[in-house]
Amino acid sequence: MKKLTIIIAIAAIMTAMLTACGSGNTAPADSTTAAVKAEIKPADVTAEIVEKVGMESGVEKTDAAVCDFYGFDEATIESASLYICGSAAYPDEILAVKFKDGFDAEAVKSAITKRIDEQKATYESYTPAEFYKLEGHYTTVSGNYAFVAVTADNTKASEIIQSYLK
Amino acid sequence: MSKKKKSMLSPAIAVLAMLIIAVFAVMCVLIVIYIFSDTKPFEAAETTSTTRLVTSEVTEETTAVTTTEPIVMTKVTTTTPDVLVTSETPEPIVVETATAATSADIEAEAEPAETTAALLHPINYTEEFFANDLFIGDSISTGYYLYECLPKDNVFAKVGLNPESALTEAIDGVTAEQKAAEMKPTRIYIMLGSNGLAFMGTTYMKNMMSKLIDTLAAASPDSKIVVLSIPPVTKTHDANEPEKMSDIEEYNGLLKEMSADKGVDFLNICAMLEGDDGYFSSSYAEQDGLHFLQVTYKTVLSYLEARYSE
Repeated sequence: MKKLTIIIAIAAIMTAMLTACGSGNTAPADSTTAAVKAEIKPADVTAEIVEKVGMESGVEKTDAAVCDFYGFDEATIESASLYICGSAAYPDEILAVKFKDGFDAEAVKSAITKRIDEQKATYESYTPAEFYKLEGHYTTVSGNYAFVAVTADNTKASEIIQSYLK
Repeated sequence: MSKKKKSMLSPAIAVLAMLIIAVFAVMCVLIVIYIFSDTKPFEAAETTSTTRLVTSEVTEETTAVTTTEPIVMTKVTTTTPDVLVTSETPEPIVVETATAATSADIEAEAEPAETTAALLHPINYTEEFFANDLFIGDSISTGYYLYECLPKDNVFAKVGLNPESALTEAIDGVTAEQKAAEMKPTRIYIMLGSNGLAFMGTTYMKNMMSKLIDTLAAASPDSKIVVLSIPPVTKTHDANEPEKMSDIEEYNGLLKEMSADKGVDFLNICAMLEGDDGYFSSSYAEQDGLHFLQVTYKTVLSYLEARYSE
């Protein structure tokens, strides 16, 4: 009888362990998957565009530099990734930003428009052969995210961005 | 009776033992899956916080400088076997310095990027050395901060700037004169003229540079003003674009004379960056044949630090 009690106890413990194991591994896996699906990492987007579209002499900048170039309020940024041409020979630029909740989307749109207009004014006469990149630039502000693509193939860049937003 | 109980218990114990083993096996597998699924995003997140170069540039050159006297560098050549070269330095370059009046030697070796620990002659400039220096220039000079070789505060540069527009044009609401007056730099380096070659005469540009020097000297009398020659262009650029080496050499010659007349330093960066063919070396030139690679900024900064270090 004593042995039977021990066996039942062990069985109960093992059942509990099995249940615990099941929930312990499933929960993070589910939450991770959900997090990846629901959340976009700006650096992933820019890196994919750099890889698949290309970037002339690209340098990835810090969040502070992103604010410097675009005039965003750094306090509103959760994470950002900006690739810019380090030599200034080309207007190529790829931006992905995740803003914190409550950010001013209109202010962000205005800041992006201002930046693009300034770049257009600069490069229109400076490197006319590269101006098509700015003329056909792609920008979008969706949810808490903002994206800019000034590349040799803005259509492809926009498709990559859209693939993250769907 | 007790025997019968034992015989019934043995299979149950065996089943439980197997269950325990199975549970631990499942746990191990789940732990492994969890660890691997968790690590990759984390590592990716860390990568984003750093600044990294993704240019087609695959090598980083290093420079060692020994200087005792003023410099006029004249030639860039590929190294010969007796120069410091290892199997890890695929495109070594030696910059030979001028002549009797000069004694600066710069050896630069190409190294795979991001391998500074293995460098024999690392690029040896420090941001601190230039902490109170100001670089005035055009799009080429913007690369000092775009490539993060120097803080933006140390650079007054804009795409399209030329010796004339630099007299009046503001960047972030401040002109070069105001910037110099506020900053009171230890040294002011000016490299302007590449943008004017296409539509300004070389003499006119030299005259504008002279005005700019006077303006800056008045704004910050204690600053040492250093005129940098404009850089060379590649042979392809020379053949297809308005900027020609003949004009560059002529303009740099005028700058040298003007600098001597004014008693300011003139440094021939152009000669340092030329290849054997007398054009912009592909080791330093951006694809457009006019702008700099990141390594070029580092090479120039190393040279300047060596030149002005006590």
